[in-house]
Order: sequence, then C-alpha cells, then structure tokens
Amino acid sequence: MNRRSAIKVLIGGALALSGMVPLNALANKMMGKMAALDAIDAITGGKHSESSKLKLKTPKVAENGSQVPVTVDATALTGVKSIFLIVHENIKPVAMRIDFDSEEVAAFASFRVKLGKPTKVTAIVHTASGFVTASSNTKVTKGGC
Amino acid sequence: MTKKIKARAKMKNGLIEVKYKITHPMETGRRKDKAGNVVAEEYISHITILKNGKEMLRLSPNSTVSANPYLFVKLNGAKGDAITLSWVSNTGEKNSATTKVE
Repeated sequence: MNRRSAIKVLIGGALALSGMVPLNALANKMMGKMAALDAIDAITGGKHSESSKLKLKTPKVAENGSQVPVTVDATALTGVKSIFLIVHENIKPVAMRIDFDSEEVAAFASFRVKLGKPTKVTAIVHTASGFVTASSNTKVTKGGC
Repeated sequence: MTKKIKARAKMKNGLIEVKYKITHPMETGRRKDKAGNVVAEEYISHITILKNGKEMLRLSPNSTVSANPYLFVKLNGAKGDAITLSWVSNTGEKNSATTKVE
C-alpha cells in the first residue's frame, strides 16, 4: 500500500462513513501539507469526474501571486453540499473549503488566494450525486507564498 | 492591528449579493520579518455566515488565502435581512459583524 492509497483509506473511509464531513480535527488535517493529488483523493475518495457545468474562473496570468482572484460557480449543478479549492503547487494545497448549510445559498463563491508559482487550480464540488471537478492553469509572474 | 470587517449586502437580480473584506494578515508561517524571525502562522480558519440568525454557509480558509481576505457570496432573501459573518482564527481570535441588506 503506497502513501496515497493509505491516506485515501484513512480519510476517504472516514468521509464515506460520516457522509458529510464536520469541521473537526480530521478536516483540519486536510488543511496541512500534502501532495495535491493526495488531497484530491482524500476529499473525493478517488471518485470524481470533470464537468463543464462547473465553472472555475482564474486569471491566465497573475501579476501578483499573493492576490489571485478565484471564482467558483456551481449554480448549474444541483444538490451542492460543499466546494473545495485545490492549488496544486502550494505546500498546503487545500486553499478553501466551503460548506453550504442551506438551500437558500447560491453555489457560488469568489475570493482571493496566494499562488507560490505557476500552478494548476482545481475546484471540487461535492454534490448529491458525487464529486465534480474543474481545473484551470494560472501563470504567476511574482509568487506570493 | 485592528481586524475590521467591511461588508456590503445588496439585492441584485433577486439575490442578496454579499461582499466582505476582512482586515487580517493571513500569515502562512513561512514569512520572515525584517529582523529575520519567522512570523508565526496566523490565519482565519473558520467563517460562518448567518441570515437572520440561521446558519447559511461555513467556510474553512487555509493560510494560503490572501491577506485581507475578500469574499463574495450570493443567497436568497429580501431587503432588510440581517447577514452576520463571524470568524475564528487558528489562534482563537474572534470577530463578527452584522449588516442589513440594502
């Protein structure tokens, strides 16, 4: 068993058991240092699919890596429970986790993140029918991490 | 440094559009100050947004979210609703602010 599958079993199994992850120590662990692909596997349990319905907006080129605007628009999807944002090249890849507690909230969020260097950015959306992802690439002229 | 919460909530296309700017350094724990000492990690770890006292969404930013975090979310509602944002940092510091929807 390699490291990735070990993490998958540990965290993914717990995710599956609890259904929806509470903001506890386990979730906090995901906020730590790990490889981005491990983080994605830990969140999704390895099962996810890309969808054009999920819109992730990042700049193609970010001049200032410490203030990079990111917009995640999952309003075309139904039953959105949570949104995760993964910045692949950051030491701590999970930049943001958003949990929707009410149907009254639009599955939409815009915020700014730090990018250390040119990187792939992935948004993961947990819907009632599984995990949906969308990715984009951003170049950074001046890193901000 | 005072950690202010600047908020604006407005009705647009039938949804409340809430924009926040929180004054916070969001230290990653990797930056060094002028004397060469590492600045301890300090970031907002949990944000809760309530509408009229009812929980709407929870956010868990990491230290990789930009300094002075900006946040833009949309929710259903009407003029006069009270939107509350409260945050807790990894050091246990807290703050909150309530805004009326215009």
